[in-house]
Amino acid sequence: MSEINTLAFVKMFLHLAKYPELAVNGVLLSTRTDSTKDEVDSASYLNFVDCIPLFHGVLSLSPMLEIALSQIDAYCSTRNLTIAGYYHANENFSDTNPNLTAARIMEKVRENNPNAALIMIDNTLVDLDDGSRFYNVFLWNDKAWKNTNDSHIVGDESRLCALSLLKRNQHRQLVDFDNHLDSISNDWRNPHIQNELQSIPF
Amino acid sequence: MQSAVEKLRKYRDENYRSHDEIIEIWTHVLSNRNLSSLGDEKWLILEQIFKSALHCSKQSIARQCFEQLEKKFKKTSRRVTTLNGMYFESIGEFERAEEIYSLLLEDNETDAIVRKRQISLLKEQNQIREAISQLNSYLELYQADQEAWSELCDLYLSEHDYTKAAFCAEELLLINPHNHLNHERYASIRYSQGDYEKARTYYFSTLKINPTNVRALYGIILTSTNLALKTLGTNSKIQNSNENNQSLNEQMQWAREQIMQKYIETTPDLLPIIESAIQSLTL
Repeated sequence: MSEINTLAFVKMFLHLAKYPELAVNGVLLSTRTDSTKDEVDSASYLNFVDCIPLFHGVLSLSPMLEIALSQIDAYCSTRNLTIAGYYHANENFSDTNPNLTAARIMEKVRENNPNAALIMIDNTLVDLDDGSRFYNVFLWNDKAWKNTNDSHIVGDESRLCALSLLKRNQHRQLVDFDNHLDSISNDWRNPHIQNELQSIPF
Repeated sequence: MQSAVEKLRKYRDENYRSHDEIIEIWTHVLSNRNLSSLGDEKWLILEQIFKSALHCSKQSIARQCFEQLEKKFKKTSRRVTTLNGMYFESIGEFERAEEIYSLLLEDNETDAIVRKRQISLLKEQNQIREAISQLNSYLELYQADQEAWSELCDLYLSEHDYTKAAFCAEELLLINPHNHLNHERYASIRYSQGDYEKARTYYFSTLKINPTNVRALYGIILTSTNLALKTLGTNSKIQNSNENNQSLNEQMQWAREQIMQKYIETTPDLLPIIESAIQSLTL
């Protein structure tokens, strides 16, 4: 079972809107649950509360991924969060399959969190015309990725907030890790997006 | 209107990809105006709006611009015909687009732009291997085409073929050795392959050209750490390796200080996270 809050949903959406012609990826953070039991519990609950957009364009170079993950880990420790999901949008419009890059990064993410989910973006649904779902949620179960869309919850207001921020051109303000490395005054935590969300009346 | 025209000019010259903004400018400012006062620039603008409209799936705007271009330059214009091909690409009619491009190439097989559009067609249909093969053939003829080498590099990277990607990156280095981005890209590809020595060399050469390249500074930290770990694994009683490790350590500290300084100057509240992160990497 998994749930995503408006902040995480909107940041992921804005990342896609900023680079419509490129492959993009990023991670989703969830609150750290008490992990005294080590078993991989496929019925565990993932609550995505934040999103850190990573890269756009070329996603398969490892050095900057290592840097990004180390910083995000450090950020997570200060907030009792953990990397619980990885989202990936392919460059090709109609390709929704996880490629080698997605598989490799998921391996790494699952080393630290075996319950982590793989979120593959469906580019054809990103216009949010038909509803809120623009991605497929996969959990690793029985040596395969199982589609768990049916047990994934998205709040109604997420879609409205996403479209509202898009209209205000907030996608141009979104910072991913690549932007940060280009100029470190760009803050990959995107506090300004959170502020924008709070200024929406509903 | 003048500022809109200037903005569009800037976007054309500097290859900006803000297609949604360009369409906004068109819809709100320029589409109702008479552009004849701009002279020849009118046609450049129409072409630019056409391409951005395709990017934004605004086919009707694209069609409007196209009709004006076709009227002016007639169906015999290769440039206009190529645009027509791009239109069919954008609506997914790949066969029609391919027909147009093949015909253009029959007429003039040296047309590099059309050849590259054919390769884009392959990419759009997710025929990456074919695209790589065609692009290789293209580059045998047009060896100095940086855009093509860069595209081939990206295609190889998407297949995780780091060796061939490195070869493309090397070609780019040869063509333009003064671009710090070329050095950094090459270093990162070598790092991804596990060749930390080479990666380090080129992160340093990046910094020689541009001392503020943050990726290169981080690259020094990563490569120095990995190289130090490697020598720890081997016989560490050798005098050389101790000296080596010391200089690796010094350089890593230097890079670390450079990075810290930058964060202090620009985003100090990220500093604790950065410090903690670097520490976890270098342990």
